[in-house]
Amino acid sequence: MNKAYIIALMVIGIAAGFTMWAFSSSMTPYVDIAGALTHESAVQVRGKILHDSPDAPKPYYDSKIKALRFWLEDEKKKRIEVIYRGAKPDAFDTAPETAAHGIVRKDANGAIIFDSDSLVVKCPSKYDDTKSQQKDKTYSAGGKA
Amino acid sequence: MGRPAHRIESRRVIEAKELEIAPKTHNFFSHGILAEAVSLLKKDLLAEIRTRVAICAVGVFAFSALLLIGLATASLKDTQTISTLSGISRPAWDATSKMSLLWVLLCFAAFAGLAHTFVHEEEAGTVLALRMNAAPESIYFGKFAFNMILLSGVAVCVTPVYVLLTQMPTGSIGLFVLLMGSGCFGLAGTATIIGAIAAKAGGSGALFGAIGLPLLVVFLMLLMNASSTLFTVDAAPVRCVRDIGGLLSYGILIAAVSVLTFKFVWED
Repeated sequence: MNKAYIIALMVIGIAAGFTMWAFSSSMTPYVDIAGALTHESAVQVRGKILHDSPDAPKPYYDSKIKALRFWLEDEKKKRIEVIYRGAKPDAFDTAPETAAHGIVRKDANGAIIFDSDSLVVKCPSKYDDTKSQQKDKTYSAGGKA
Repeated sequence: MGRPAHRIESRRVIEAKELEIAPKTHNFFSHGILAEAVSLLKKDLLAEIRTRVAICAVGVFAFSALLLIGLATASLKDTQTISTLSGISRPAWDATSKMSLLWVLLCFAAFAGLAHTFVHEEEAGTVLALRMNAAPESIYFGKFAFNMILLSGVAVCVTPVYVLLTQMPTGSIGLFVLLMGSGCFGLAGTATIIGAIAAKAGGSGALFGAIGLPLLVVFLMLLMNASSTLFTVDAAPVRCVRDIGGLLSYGILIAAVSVLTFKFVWED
């Protein structure tokens, strides 16, 4: 192989490595709550929204700080309070799970919270098999009639 | 099955045989390539000075965009705030937002003018002559140099006016110049190879934008990272090297890959 091509390939390799290193810093990793507590930068945490848990308050809008507050529980059953400072997603009240993008910090009272600036909620109706099966039955019944 | 026994000849060699002339042979990085690239750059600059097509396209866009930005952002004050993840309110129209808008302007200005370099060769019917008289590498270097000069010229003219209009801080002036230079390098490299692909596909500006989008998304993400680092007070040196160096390395990566693959775009 031509010497110049070897040099060009080496340049490409070094530049690609450096670019990947720089690009990885702009990515937000998915972590669990324990991982979020150790991260100093923004992360994404996925978990169950505690709508009706007996030992956690229901989600509510805190007018003092103009933010939605709710508790999130990850797969390891670890919980953290989330403060979300944005418009509440339409499907939030019925969504079983959410992925919150944000950072762990202490609030004015010194409590550890997850300060989030974006929420991605899973719309339950889109993933409900029983509903879709019922709908199929309705359509098939209508077809027969 | 498989490849035929005879060697598949490149389009340049076939065209040379048809015209009964011997195609030039070149060595990578040899004096011939550099001289050809400089000749091509001179030819493009001369043609541009005569016709002023790219300068007018970029200039009119940059001037109207600057005027619009000036009018649209006149009412925005630094006191308008949004809350951040750290719980501290920051100005909605802050330095990073201003830098983003400057690069939006430069990107669109680049796309308005830089696609022209190869499309013009196709339209004028000079592609064959160019293909016969210059190696693909020297054509890439020549066109890349022309795009780099055009884009740097636009950046040099637009940035001071934009800084005055929006009162954008520049942070460390050395890092600012390095960021702008790295950005122009990456954008010119991307625009050159995408312009060549779009021209060979017989496309126009719309195709240029569509093909360029995936490459530009990565470029813009690196650019925003670098801008954020530039405006961070007392940013760690490692962060400066990673983010601003990452932007420069992306430009080098695009240019190096383009040099190696340009032959296939140009000749096949």
